[in-house]
Amino acid sequence: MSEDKSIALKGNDPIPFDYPNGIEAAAEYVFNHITRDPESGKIILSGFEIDLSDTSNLAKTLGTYVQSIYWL
Amino acid sequence: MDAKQKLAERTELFNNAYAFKHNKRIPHLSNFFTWQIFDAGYDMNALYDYDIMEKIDDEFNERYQFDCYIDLLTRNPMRATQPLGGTHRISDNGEAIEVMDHVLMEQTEYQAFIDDSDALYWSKVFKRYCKPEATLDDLTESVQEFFEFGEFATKMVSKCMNEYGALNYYSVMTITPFEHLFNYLRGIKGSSSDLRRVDEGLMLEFMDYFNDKYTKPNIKMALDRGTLPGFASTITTGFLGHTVLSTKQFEKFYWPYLKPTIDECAKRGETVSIMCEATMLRFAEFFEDVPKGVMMVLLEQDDPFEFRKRLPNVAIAGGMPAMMLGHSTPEECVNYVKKLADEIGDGFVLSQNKMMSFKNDCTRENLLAVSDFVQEYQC
Repeated sequence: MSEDKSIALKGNDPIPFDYPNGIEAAAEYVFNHITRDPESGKIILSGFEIDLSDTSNLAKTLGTYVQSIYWL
Repeated sequence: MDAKQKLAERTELFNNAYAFKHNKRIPHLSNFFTWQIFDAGYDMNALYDYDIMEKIDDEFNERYQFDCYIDLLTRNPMRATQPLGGTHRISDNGEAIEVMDHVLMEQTEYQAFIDDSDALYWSKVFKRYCKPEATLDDLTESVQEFFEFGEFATKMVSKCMNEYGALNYYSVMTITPFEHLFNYLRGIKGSSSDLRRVDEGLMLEFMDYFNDKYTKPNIKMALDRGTLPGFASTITTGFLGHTVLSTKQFEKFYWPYLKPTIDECAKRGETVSIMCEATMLRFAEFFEDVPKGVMMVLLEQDDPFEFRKRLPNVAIAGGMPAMMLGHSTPEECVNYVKKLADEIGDGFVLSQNKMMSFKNDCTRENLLAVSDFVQEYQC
């Protein structure tokens, strides 16, 4: 996803539920706004570092969350 | 005895129970969930504070010394689910978590799931899970909390093993496709009505698809690595949806997705545990040929003495009624444990017949009496 599209999204926007553009946009927003490790500046979740440059992987990671959260 | 020695002893207790080898004492499995919170003087709002939950777990372990834990207060990640609305809420008096029977996939969407489940999950299932006004900030908060909860759960599992010297009951939880419909996607009402209203071929196609894409890889991973140190079983599955199935429906929609896992565990010398809600003896015929040493069932409503007679090849966990722990005397509880141990014999793990969740499910006095007794009683 392009940088311009990411900037266009705001936190109080509704979650875009179209697929696949919506999940890709949401993933880029979410992982760019998650708290980073104060020392390294990286995003490390449950021991795994999130690579912000890999857009398709961001959507895949969000998809994994989506398919897990409703079990809980 | 240090944690390492305790873990070794407890591992042997559970391995023996699976294998029907004689144990020197009764293994004790905790099926305690949120009751721990009340026992420690808190209410359900403690679920929002991981430091408090860790303290509660520590005290619970110190006080009762269970050999193995099903839950380490990691069942209810309210901080992760609440930003989006979720399907659970804490009751106004702080004494219960209320769960709504919910529908996340419509009866008409089976084919769409098969065509592209990733798309359906995002555009329909997840959308229905979220509150209507959910924003990207809500989603960000939920994702962050989801992973933080994962870190808390991982920490508690490690603590259980390395500091408590106790076992975790399961490492891999996997459920059959019908359970997934029943518990999550279609709900109790929806899944049972689909058995009559949705084309049978389509239902089976969905189940094959779900099994291949989501369940089988999980099972393969668990079987390839075997039972991990610090865990009581290789694979665990839940039995809840069977409650709405006839024997014929079980044979068609459920058993074909469970039997291969049991067979593979038997072939590889691994174990499978079933956490059963309600009863399962009406399906006993399906389990008659499971070899000894492969399977353990945590019973809820089945009578453990009857279960042992009907399926002498399957190890039993359970036996202790919540009603007794909550409302009888310590002497009555201990006498009943003695009867269970003496009459059931080998292949038995003492546990509670409910997920112990509510304040009146148990008294501290009764649980202390039972916990002390199982440490000392020579079977």
